[in-house]
Amino acid sequence: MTELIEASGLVKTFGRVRALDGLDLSVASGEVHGFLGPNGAGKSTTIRVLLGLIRASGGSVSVLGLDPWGDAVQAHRDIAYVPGDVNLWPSLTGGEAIDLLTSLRGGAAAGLRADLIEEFEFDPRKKARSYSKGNRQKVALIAAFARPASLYILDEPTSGLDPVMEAVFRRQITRVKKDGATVLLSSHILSEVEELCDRVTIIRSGKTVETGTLSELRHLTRTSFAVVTGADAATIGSLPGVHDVHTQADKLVFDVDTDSLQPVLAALASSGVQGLTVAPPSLEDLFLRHYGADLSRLEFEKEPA
Amino acid sequence: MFRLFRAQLRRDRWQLLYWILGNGLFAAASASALAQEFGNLAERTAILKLASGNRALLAIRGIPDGATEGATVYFEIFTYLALVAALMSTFMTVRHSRGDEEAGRAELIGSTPIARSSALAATLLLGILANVAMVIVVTAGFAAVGLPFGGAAFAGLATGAAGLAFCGVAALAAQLARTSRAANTIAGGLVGVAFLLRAVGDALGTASADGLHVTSTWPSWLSPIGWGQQVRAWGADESLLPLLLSVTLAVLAGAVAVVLVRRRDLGSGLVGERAGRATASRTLRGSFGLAWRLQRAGVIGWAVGGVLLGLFAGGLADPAIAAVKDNGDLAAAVQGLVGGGTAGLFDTFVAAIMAFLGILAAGAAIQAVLRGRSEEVDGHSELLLSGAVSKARALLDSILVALLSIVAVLLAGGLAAGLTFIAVGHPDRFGSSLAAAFVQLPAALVFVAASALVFALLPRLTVGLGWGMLTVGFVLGQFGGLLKLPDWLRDVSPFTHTPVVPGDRVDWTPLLVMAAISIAVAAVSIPLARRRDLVS
Repeated sequence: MTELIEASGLVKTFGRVRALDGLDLSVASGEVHGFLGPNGAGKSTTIRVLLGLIRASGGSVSVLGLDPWGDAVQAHRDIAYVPGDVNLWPSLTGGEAIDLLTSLRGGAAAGLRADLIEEFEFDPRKKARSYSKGNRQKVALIAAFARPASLYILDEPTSGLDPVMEAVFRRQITRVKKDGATVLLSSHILSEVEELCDRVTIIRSGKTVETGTLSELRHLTRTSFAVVTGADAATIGSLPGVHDVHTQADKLVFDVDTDSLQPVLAALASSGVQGLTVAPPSLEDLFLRHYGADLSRLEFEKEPA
Repeated sequence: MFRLFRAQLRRDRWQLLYWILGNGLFAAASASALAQEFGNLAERTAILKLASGNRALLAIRGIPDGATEGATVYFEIFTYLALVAALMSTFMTVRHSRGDEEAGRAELIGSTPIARSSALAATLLLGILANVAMVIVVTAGFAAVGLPFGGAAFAGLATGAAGLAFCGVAALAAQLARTSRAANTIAGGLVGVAFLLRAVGDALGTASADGLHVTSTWPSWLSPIGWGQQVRAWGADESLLPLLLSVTLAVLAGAVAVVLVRRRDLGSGLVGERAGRATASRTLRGSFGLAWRLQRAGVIGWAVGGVLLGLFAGGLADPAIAAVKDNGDLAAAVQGLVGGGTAGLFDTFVAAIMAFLGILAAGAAIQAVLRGRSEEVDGHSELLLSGAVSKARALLDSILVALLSIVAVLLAGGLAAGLTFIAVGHPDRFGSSLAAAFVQLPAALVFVAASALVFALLPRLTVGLGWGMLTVGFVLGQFGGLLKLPDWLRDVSPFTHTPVVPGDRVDWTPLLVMAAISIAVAAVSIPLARRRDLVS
């Protein structure tokens, strides 16, 4: 599989601020790649470098096999982009903005444009200044999907959309993926990423902290158990790979490392289980494990030593 | 409300300070320059006699009322002091009313437990405060250079009253229009109308027998700037009564605005919104089409200004020339008003007006280049540049639109002047009017190239430097003589180098040099723009 986006050791400084600090990102052709990180982690900065809007201060980057800074125009012919904060020209109508934006890549496919306007339930005749955030987002989404591209770069594309429109968005992602396109989807809506993405990259403070398929990453996280059982907390807690054991009403609640599931299940089976809830490891857990550590450390630092 | 007032004041304090101190300095500098140039009564009497016979001078200055030092200063510069106060008030009022509403800040404030009209009331209060400060600073400026204090206070009050009147007018415009841009256009346009009404009313006025007093005709009495002029500070008929009109206008317009803001929905205007096009026209598809579309309304505004100047040149030339034809000294003095070559009186008069047209053209052009910067700040450039458009191409588009704007403004002014000349019986002057308009093109080009270079190298300073350059060029070009500035300093302004066309011995060299410099600088800026980050 060829890599459509290949960035390694990416550095971007603004004055004394180091927005990107050795970030690595590689997106293979044909995949939907999730790009995760908390606010201020450098997601939008990375995307702006990938689009050649700003120039990396260090590291190497290629997009569609081209240098995004030097060959920006050539690369953009095959890239559809939805910014995180869509700012439209207030005096243009939504329809005009859609046509203008697609014309910069060669023009919309007429049937596709009409279908999208209908699916997103969008009124293209209003001036952009009167659109809500969700409607502005729709303009950028329709413009992005109305002309086939080989790479879609989407920066938190569903912010401001209601759940029905989010579903429309997911259908479009599925459609372009079927056509063989590649998608880089920046988000902090984890359910969206879990549902759509083949692989994810997680960044923090301008650095890549985790990258891989969801099942690879799940391997790093834990499954949550809530059991009504005769076994006491100490017994369960002494098993290898079991963490955070505590009781909640009549339930025993604990987390188990993925590698240790087998022996824990065996131990539970022999202890007389009357009720059992198992929550699969979610991206959310993974996310919190990476950023939760930061939070607790921050709180820790506030305590006087 | 006082909290809102404090917040607004905090946001604006430096900007307002620049406007107010700038005006005070302008007052003091002009007064002291005039005292040096026309130190004795005989000299001042001569210049005022000259002026009261020349309708063009009455139009661009004001009305004389006696030959005291103060009265002469008031005649020379009051209109411009009032213009600055009016524009300051207009922009400030719209920024805090419709501007906040459009940006969504008004919604946030409106959700708190305060009255619907509190924000506007706070803005009007800020307007009063700013104009009181204007009164004090202008008075102090005049008094500091030794003019009698009574007249200085009158001049300060007249300046502040003009500003106050436009606080009210702008507050009203902000209720009518749905966008701050439209509100600024309406209120700023009315400032222009006020200037023109005063110019026409004073130009058509009748001079007294000794030539030291002029009585304005009725159009001056329709203009808040005209009311200030009628205060006649330091003059024989000095009076504050005309300012009652300014204050009344401010109170009435402000009250109507407050009533409207209480009754209307947030975000609505009295000018309704129609459904627009569902698809883009062929001309809008592409980056140049967008650049032109965004600038179109602005260009029309500047061109309307050009048409008015053209009408002015064509319509007032005859009476103005008739007044000075028999007076040799006067003719020589008028010719001294514009530099660069010797030319007939007619040509000199037209050239003096066309110099203003050149400033309008440069303004339109700078606005077109600066648009590139505001697009960047507003996040629109990010969308544009994510398409197959390079940063170099985007700047080239701005420069081409700037060029088109210059041509449109000059053509509008030249054609209006030429056609008016035909209408008043000078068909032979049609071609020369167009020539007099288009000779302004190279100076305007310099501003295009300079702002493009700033945009490419120092994006954050583009807007300030862009308008700053025009202001400096305008002041050096129009007031360089009055302020007795050294030649090298006046030569900094491109406008200084524009010759009088048609003339007997026109020196075309400066035009070619300015055009060549502009093309070279623009050609350097375009690749430079490609080398910088998008800076929001």
